[in-house]
Amino acid sequence: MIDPLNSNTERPRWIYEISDLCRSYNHGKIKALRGVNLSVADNDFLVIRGPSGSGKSTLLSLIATLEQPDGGSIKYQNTPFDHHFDRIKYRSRELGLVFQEFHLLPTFTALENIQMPMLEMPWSRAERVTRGLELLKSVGLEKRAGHLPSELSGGEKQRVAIARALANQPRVILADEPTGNLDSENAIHVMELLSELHQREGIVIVMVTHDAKIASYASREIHMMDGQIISNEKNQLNKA
Amino acid sequence: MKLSLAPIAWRNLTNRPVRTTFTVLGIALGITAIVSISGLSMGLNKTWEKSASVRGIDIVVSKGGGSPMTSLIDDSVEKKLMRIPQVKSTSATLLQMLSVEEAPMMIVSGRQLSGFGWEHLEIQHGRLPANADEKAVVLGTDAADSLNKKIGDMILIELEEFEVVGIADGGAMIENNSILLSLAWLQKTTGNEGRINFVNIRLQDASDEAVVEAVCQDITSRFPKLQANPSGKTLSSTRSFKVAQMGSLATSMLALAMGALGVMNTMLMSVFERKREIGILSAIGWRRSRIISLILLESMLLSALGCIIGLILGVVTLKGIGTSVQFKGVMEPYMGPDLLLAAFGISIIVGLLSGVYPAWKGSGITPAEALRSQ
Repeated sequence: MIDPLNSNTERPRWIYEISDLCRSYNHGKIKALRGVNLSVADNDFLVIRGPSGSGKSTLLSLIATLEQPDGGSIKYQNTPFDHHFDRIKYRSRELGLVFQEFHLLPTFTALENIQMPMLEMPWSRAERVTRGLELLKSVGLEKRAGHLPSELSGGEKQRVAIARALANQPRVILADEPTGNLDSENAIHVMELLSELHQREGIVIVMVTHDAKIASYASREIHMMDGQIISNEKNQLNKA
Repeated sequence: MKLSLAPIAWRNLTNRPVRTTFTVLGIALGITAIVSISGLSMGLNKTWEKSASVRGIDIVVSKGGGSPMTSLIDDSVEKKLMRIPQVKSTSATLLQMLSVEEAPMMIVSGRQLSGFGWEHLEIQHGRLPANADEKAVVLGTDAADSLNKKIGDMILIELEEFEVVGIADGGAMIENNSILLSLAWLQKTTGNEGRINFVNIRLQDASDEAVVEAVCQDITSRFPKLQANPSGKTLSSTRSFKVAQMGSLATSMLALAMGALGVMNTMLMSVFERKREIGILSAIGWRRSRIISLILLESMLLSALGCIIGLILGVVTLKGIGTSVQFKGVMEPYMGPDLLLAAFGISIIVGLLSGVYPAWKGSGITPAEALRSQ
């Protein structure tokens, strides 16, 4: 297991422990992950970098329980992702997901999109609306609450998606190329927002990107190639 | 919008208005068929029940098999039936549907003047025929209105002219829309001498349904070619009515099944089109049961909307039929709450069943697969 953090004198608390993770597609013809080992600490802002097809999005998808591995294991706070593991509860209460394509529901307003994950929580309608508006305010979009995704810019859509990811007060945000469809100015806004959430709220962030500039926001960076981790480094926090 | 499952379902349906409208219309047609066809058959039955009830008939005897309206029996049977111990009185009747003057179809009822078939009439104007030989008719109040006749007018039935001697309230739709005359004259006028459709029977004591049924069985065992039914079941127990009822039920069910297939098709298309959206909902933590509930709710909403429109169309159809020349006065279509509630219940069940397969398919979409789809 490649883990430079183990060299620290104070033993970190792992939020994810990933061992020998394998995933293939097309009946084993395409091997997306070939025995990945990785630990993510509960104070990490981890960036996964690598070229297209290196397996970084597959790794994120497996951590998000959006698909099943062929082999190996993932533990979340010491609980393995086995058949006893409540994946839905994990996704709704522990995770916030941010995608490159935003994946907002096109026929629902910004406020409604943010409320979608909240339907799994024991909150009243009024509480959901109040929290939705607070989250929109926190991403600077309180005036866009009633707008449909088609009426928002790319940067605004991604900020709504981040607000949605925060809806149920997650412990972790998994972001797959969150700035991939944004111009540089909006990309910086989104990264500053994620960075602030990590520092202020203590949210663990695992982010996939191929952009070195974006990766510089992270506290740790791993590089993948051909389904394997080839480097795992601690970053100097020198924001772009 | 305050977000919950029902508004989300509603939004999903209204996002595709044309498809939703056509699917709703498909269900609406099925429900219209059920309401109008069932309303007609129930209405016909209830109208005849009411007519028998106001006349105090306990048992109706007619020819076994076929329709009593077209099957005739020898009128001598009436005297034989009188000999059965429990029978208190009888009334032989010849009932014909005839075109009378300008009216395309009128109920013309020939009744024994000695029988109880005239007792319940409340004479509004004039009198009853003085004897079986008098060439006279009594009109029900509505029949008098529709034929525009008053006391002393002449009325042409087939090739015979009769004098209107009375106008009476018979207490039931059929009675009030009938032309009543002596049995002998109607037999003669229609060429049915010695023939009748029914012998109506009053029992000594009809308070116990079991006794009434026993007398019916006694009659059918004595006269195997006849059928005897409690008055409330006269029409519904005839073979032709049962065949018509089964045919209409099958037609209704076919129409509804087509509507249900429409709902299923729409929901399947909707699920496949929204594969990505469903994947997103699953990815952000929606439980499978919530996704199933959403799809079933959409399916039931489609059916419920179709049902509401179908109920309105059904009631309008029944009202139209009830006032049409062919049916006016012969039957009153039934539009009771039990029929409308049953139709609503059926549509909800249809909606639920039509949504099961799409919901199962939709909830099985894996988020990773859905998010990769474009």
